[in-house]
Amino acid sequence: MNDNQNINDDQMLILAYIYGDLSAEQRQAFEQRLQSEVELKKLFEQQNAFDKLMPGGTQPVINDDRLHAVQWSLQKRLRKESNRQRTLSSRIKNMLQALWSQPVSFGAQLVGMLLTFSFGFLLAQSNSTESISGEPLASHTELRSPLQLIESDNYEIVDLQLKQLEPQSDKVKVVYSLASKAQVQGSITDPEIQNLLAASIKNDVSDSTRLDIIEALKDQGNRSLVKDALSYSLLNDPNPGVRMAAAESLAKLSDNEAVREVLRQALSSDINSGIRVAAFQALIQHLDDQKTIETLKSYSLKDSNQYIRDFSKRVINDNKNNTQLPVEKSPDETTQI
Amino acid sequence: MESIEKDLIEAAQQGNVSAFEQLINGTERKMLSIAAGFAASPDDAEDIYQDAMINAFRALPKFRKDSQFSTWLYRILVNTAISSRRKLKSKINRLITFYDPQNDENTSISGYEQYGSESNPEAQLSNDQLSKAINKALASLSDKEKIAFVLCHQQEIKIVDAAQIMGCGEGSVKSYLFRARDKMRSQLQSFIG
Repeated sequence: MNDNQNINDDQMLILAYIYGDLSAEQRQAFEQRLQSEVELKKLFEQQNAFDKLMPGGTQPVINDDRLHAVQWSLQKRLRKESNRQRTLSSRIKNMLQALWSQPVSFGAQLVGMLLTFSFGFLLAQSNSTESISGEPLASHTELRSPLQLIESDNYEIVDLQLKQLEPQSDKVKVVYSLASKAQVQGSITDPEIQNLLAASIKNDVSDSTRLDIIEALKDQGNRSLVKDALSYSLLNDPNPGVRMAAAESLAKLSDNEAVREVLRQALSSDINSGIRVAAFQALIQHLDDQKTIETLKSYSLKDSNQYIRDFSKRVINDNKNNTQLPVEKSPDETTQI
Repeated sequence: MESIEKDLIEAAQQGNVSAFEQLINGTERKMLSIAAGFAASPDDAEDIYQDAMINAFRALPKFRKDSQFSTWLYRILVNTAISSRRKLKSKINRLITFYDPQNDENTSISGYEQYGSESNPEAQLSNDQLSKAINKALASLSDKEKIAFVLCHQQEIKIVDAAQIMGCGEGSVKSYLFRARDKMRSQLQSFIG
């Protein structure tokens, strides 16, 4: 073994020592060598000087504001990604990828390909070179050119995708939806209107529209469809204002165990402290619910919001002693959205 | 793997965003800090972290439960950081060349990461010059050296775990780590004294 290799081996040993990669016996042996071997000690002190300047664990500082901003932004992006994945073409693509990546028979892969071609034909426009014709929108709708429908201002194009474009043969395949404007007027207690609004929340409508929908539905939570829509908003909406409105609406329904489960999820995972406080205040109306107590123990004791932490501690302690707590309002701290 | 984590992974693999968020809940700060170790600026770190999480969400159907979820996630984060680093390399060089901290009114929130000890905020290094020098020294490391340094030295991840994340042997991790420290030490010599 030459000197260079000795130095390299010693350098590796020093690193292992610094980064805790030695057993107790190895550490002891190394420390003994340090006391007796001058060269080793010199190398170690060289490394040590670096660690004094930049100790292990010296890392970029991430403050709470920055973390929350990133979490909120990621939430929006994840939902967009989830929506993108849910489109039909993505479903087919994922199915094919899953088929190809699994050790399945060639026959199954061929079946997958054939299904895709068949589906593509079903979606494709008619191959007329003379004019573009559109699919009927509904069985009772007159068969008219889509351009005529758009120009009459009754419809608009949404979700247009150019699926195929072959410059040599001039072939093109376009897939699109035609949306017609419609108006509904009636009572918010009408189940049909409630169904329409509840379904709209999951569609691509603006933040302010979703907020308006939640406000409209907030007193109609006796129907399960509305409850589901409010729950979906609380757990999935990227806008904290919308989630807060959903939390406040669901708070009135917290007698229901399914609603409490949603509130518990919000309490344990929402990035916005105001929303977690709203969920918390709804849940502590039902301290006989052991699942709530478990959530407080698992998550709320470590919450970044002091009110939640302090009150959770009291709740858990009193739960042990089996005494009932009066319900307090949160202090006038900042629980901004 | 805990059964709760297993259930969340299965739900997330079906496209459940909330399940995925619960999986990453509590790890965001550490992962953002790792991303920041590779980034030229806080904005870049945030982009790296978010891109990595989107990549992870997309790749979830391919996750085999024979490895730790956290290890898998860190691997995606590191790979995303390296891809991003390669794309931004020329931009990083321009930033270092033209950045003049003496003329920047907002040196405390300028385009580089502030370094400190997360476990002891009161002892956080407030020396802007040192932070800048650290960032410059990190930029001089190769991809593997940087990964080893960020994971083992900055984030205090065990060498054995870093080896799993990097997909190499422990000996290789130590080699990269040694070379990284050597380069950093020579770049920061004036601060060591």
